[in-house]
Amino acid sequence: MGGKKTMTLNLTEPEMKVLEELSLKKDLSKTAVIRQALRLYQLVDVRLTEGGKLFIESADKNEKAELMVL
Amino acid sequence: MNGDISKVWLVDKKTGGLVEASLYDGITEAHLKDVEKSWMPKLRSELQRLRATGRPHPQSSHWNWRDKVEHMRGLLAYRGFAVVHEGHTQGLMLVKTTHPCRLPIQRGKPLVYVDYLETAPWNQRELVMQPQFGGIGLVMLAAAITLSREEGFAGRIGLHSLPQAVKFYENCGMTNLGSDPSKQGLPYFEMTPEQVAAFLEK
Amino acid sequence: MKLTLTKDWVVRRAALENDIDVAAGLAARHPSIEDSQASVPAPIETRLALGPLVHLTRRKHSLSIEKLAEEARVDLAEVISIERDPSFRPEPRTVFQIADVLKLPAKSLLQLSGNTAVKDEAFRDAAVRFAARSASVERLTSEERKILEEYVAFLSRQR
Repeated sequence: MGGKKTMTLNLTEPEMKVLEELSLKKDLSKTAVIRQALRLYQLVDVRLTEGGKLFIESADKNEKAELMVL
Repeated sequence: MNGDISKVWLVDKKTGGLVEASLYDGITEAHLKDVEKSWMPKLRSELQRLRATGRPHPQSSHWNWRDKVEHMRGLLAYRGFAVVHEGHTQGLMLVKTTHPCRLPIQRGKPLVYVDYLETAPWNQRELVMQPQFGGIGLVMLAAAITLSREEGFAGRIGLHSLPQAVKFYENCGMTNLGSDPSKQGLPYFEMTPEQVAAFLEK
Repeated sequence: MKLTLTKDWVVRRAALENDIDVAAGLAARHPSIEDSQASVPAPIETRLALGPLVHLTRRKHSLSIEKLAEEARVDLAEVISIERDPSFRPEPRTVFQIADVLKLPAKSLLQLSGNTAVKDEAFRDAAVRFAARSASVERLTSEERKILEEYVAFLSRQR
């Protein structure tokens, strides 16, 4: 983790737009957004691999839907 | 796990002066073994003694350290830190980098969340008459903040304080968002970039 | 990650921490059952039952003390003390781990070990009877097994 490697990312226009929006919203550089996404992806993947399920609960707590991912 | 070692300073409570110590980025097997060998027996005997006297005993317990550390190995979202002085682990911290801020002015932005922070039993006033070292909390907070800045989170950190430590986080300038029912009522604290700057200023 | 702290900064900020025990995180805390029962020791009758219960169940599973300590990931000395010293109060975690390995009801074991309050007369009586009946046993005979199983069934029924 100490030494960093450089990679070129090829993104579509919509993807780039989302990246920029998130970057603005989260007050993060685009690189930081991608790194954060990677951390979250790995976390979710590990839990799902263990057999867990990912749910999103609505704000009023009345609805809970499974997020079919990965 | 990064492997970096930084020079830090602790307060030697016997002399009141400072001593040099090391901050490790990454909790190693050696740290875990040391905790199991030197923290556990001391903690156990102190707790037995406190129970016997009927005194309310402290809120800290680290009997699931190894489990926690093993669970986070290889996961990018977790980072561990250890403060070591003369070969002995003086404090341990686990942080998570995927939590969002709750404070309205920074809601939704990422922060470094201190999942777990504890000092060795011989440093705790609730466990021993004469705690040996102080300043570990300061070092760990500074470490969490530094990590936050490195990750582009502008120094933002968050944590749930144990009741006896509330004053410390307030002293450091963190905002107390109140008791969190989802964490057994522990108060939740956050730090803004401005508070961070004030805390770190020379 | 490299941290840069100056001696100066530490000196000036040391007062913030002073005599405070710094800690954070839910996992740094004892479980809440401990908090409420901290200063109430269990009556001797229930503590007399824990030792033989663990001892006989361990033997039923054909485990040595060392193997039990290893599987439960607890200190050997603690297992020995639990089995042989009625005045010894084990850590809640130790009780949980042992209950898990031996497939005994953890909640009841915590009461027997003195970590949580003992509920009622019937519980106490059953503990005393079990302790008396299980005293001085060498090999687990079918009689002993029956005594043990009856008692465990009773404990499992506790809410």
